[in-house]
Amino acid sequence: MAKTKNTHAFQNDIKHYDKIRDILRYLYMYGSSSKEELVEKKLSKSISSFYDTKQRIENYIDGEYLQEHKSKEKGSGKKYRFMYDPFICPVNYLADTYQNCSYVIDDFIFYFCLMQVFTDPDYRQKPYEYVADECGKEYYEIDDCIDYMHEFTINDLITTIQIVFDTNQALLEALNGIPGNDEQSELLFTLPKVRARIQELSDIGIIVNTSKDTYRLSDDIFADLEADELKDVQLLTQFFYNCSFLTIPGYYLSATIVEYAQSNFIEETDSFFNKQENPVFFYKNHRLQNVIDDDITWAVLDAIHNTNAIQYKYRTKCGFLKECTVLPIKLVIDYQYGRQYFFCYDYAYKVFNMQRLSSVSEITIARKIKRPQKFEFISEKISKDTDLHRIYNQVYSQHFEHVWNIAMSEKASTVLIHFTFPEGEYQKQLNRIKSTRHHGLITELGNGHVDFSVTVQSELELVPWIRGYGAYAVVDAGTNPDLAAKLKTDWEEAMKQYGIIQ
Amino acid sequence: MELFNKYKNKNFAFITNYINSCVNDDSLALTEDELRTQLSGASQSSFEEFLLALTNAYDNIESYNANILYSQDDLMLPLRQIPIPVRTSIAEKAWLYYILQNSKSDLFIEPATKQKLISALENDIDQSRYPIKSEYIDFRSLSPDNKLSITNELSVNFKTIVSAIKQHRCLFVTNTTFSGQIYKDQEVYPYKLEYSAQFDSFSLSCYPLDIKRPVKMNLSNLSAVKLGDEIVDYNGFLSDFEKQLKNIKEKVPVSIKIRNQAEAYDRCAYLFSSFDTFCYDKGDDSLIMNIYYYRFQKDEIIRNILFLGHYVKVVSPKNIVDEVVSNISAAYNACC
Repeated sequence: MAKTKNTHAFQNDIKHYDKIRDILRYLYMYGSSSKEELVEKKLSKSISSFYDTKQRIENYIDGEYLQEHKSKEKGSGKKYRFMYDPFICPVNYLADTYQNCSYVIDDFIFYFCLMQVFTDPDYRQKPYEYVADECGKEYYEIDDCIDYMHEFTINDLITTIQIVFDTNQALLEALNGIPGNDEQSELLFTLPKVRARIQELSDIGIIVNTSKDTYRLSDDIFADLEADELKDVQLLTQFFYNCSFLTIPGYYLSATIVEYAQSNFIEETDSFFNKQENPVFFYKNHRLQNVIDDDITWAVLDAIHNTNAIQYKYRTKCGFLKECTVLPIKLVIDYQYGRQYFFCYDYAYKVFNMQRLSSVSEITIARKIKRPQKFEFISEKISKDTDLHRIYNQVYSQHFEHVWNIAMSEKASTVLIHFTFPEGEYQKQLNRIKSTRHHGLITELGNGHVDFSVTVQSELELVPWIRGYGAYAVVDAGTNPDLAAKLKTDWEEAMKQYGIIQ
Repeated sequence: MELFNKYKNKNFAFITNYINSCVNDDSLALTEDELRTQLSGASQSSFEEFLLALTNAYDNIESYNANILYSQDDLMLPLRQIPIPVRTSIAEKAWLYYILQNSKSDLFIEPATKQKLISALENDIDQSRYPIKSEYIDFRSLSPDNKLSITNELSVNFKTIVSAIKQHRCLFVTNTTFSGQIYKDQEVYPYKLEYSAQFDSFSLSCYPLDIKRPVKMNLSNLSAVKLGDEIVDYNGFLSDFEKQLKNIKEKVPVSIKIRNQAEAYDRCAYLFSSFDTFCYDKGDDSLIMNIYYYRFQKDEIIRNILFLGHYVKVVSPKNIVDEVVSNISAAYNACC
C-alpha cells in the first residue's frame, strides 16, 4: 500500500552540512550540554530543532563513540560526550557524518539507470540474458548499452535511459506481477531533468564533459592495477586520510576502493559497507574536529585554484554573524593548536586578514566581484598570461615573513631567550627545543646553557611556548623588556591563582 | 564542486556494492527483510519511502518504484544484470594526486604502482580542476627539523613491521634507545604503528617478550628488523595488551578549571581535543574539564597547562597540582 509523502516529518538526511556543523563541533569539543544550553548559545534555533539535530547525530555516528550520561545537575536531561581514546578508537567517526546528504528518489533511480547503461566493450554484457530462462521472452538482444569510452549527447542518453527504464518495468511485471506505468519514463527523464543531473555528475567528476554537448563516463584510474597493488593503495589512503589536513576526499576514496575491489577483484566480504578498519596505525594527537569543516576547506582551496572571490558568514568572537566578501589567497594549517585558517584580501575593509575556517558558514562564489576590482590590491599590470598564483605567493610572503605561528603584526623584532637545563634533562629538553623552534636559531653554550634567538612579527605569540619550559626559560630583559615583563606578570598571576602569593 | 553531495550518500554506496556483488555471485543476494536490516538508518518517513521504492512496493500511480531489483524465491536480485562501474570523483583524484607527492607514500606502494597511478591521474581529462596543490597551502610546522628522513633502511623496516602487524607475526628488532643503550635482537609482539603528524615520526607500539609490558620504540631508532613466526593465540595477546594499557590509564582524571576569557575555552579545547575529556559548565563563568590520560601523557598535560597560562587552574588530583605549582614557583623565581 503506498504511503503518502509527509513533508513535515523528520528528515534524517540533510541538504547542507551547515545544518549540523556547529552542534557537532560543540559536542565534540566540549560535550555535555543540555538542550537549553545549546539554544541559549544559538547552536540550535529552537528546542524542537535541537531534537531533530540530536536524532540525526545519533543516526550518523556509531553508538560506540557517542556516550550518553545523566548530569548531576538537577533539571537537566541527558547529555552527550564524544569518545576519544586513540588506543580504543583510532577511527575518524566524525567523517561518517558526510555520508548523509539528502536526495530525492528520482536522483536514485536516475543514477542507477544511468550507471547500468555503461558496459565494458571487451566483455560486452547482455543484461537480460537470464530472462529467457525465466519467462521465455528474449530480452538479451536489446541494444541499450553504452561502451565506457563512448561519447554521448544528452538526447542520445535520454533515448537509451528510457529504454532501460521501460524494459525494467516490463520485466518487473513479467517476473513479479507488479504493473508498470507507460508514462513514467517520460516524466522521469525529461531534457531539463537529465541535463541537470548529468551536469551535477560532471561537476563531481563521475561523468566528464568532453566537448560542448558531449559527455562520457570518466576514466578508470585503477584499470592497470593488480589486486595486491590496490590493497597497498587502500592502506596508503587510510593512513593519509587520518593524518592529512583534509580528510573527506580520502575517506570517500577509501570507500570507492572497497567498491572497486568488490566489483573487479571478487572478494568475499561480510559487510557491504566500508566500515573504517585500520588495524595497522593509530595517531598521536589525532584531532578529529577539523573534519567538520572539510567542505569549507575544500571550497576555499577550489576558490584559490580558480582565483575566485568568495562570500560567507563569519562568526565573530562576540558570537554574531558577519557577512564577508574576500579573495582567498592561502590556506594556513597550524600544528600548535590544530586550527585551520585562510589568508585573504577583504574587499569591504581593503585589508588582509587571517580567517578561521571553523567560523565560516554558507560559503559561495562571489560572482559580483569582477576585474579590475577583484585584484585591486595588486600593483603590477595583469594580463591574460599573468601567473596569478605567483602573485598570490608573493603577497603572502610579504605579509607573513618572520611570523612565528599565525599572528601578524606591523614590525618585526628579534627575541633572545636563555635556557638552562640540569644535566639529566639536557638532551631531552634540547631535542624538544629543536623540534618546536619554528625558524629560530639554537646556540649551545655548554654547561647546560642554550641560547635561542628568533626574529618574529609578534613577540607575544611566543609567550605560551616559553611558558611551556617553566623555570628553564628566561627572556633577555635587555633585548626584549616588554616580553620579559609580560612573562613575569603571567607567572605572578599564576602564583596568585594558586594562592602562593597575594 | 560540492564535497558534501548526494552521490556519496551511504545508500548509493550500499546499493552499488549490492548490485555488483549479486551480478558476480548471486549466492550473495539477500531477502527483502535482510536488505532492510542491512540498510542503516532509523525508519524515518523519507527513508521508508526509499525502502518502498527500492522493494517495488508502490502501485506506480502516485509514486514510482525504483525498478532496480526484483524478487525471486524471496531474494532481491538486480533486474538489469550489469555491474555498476566504479569511478573516482575529482575530489578523490585530486586528493590522491596530492598525497602521491608526499615522500611517505613511498612507504606504502611500489614505484611501479606509483607510476601507474600518476600516469592515469596526469592523463585525466579533469586534471586541470584538481585544487589541492602544495603552493596553495602553508603548513606552520613546529620546526623545519621535523621531517621524516626516508632512508632505504627505514623503508624496509617500515614494510616489514606493517607485514608483521597485518599477518599477526612477531618481530626481531635491534633498538638503540635515546640514552644510547642498544638492545639487540629483541623479540617483540607488534601492536600498532603510531604516527605523530606534529613531529612527522613513527613509533612502534609493541610488547617485548623479555620486559612483558607495552613499550614504544621510535622507528628511526630501529635496525635489523626481521619477521618472526605467527603469534600463537593472537587474540589473547591483543586483549592482554589492551588490558595492560588500561592499567596505565589513570583512574583519576586531571581536573582543570578554565576561565571564560580571551578565548581560553577554545584554545584549551583544541589543545586537549585528542585526549578523552569530559567538560561541564561550572556556572561562575568557567568551565571544568576532566582529562582522562595514560600515565605516559602526564608530562604533556603539564606542559599544556603551563602553555595555557593563568586562564587555567588545576583543581585535582593533588600530585598534579603540586607539580604544576612547583613549576610555576620555580619559573617565577627564575625571572625575578
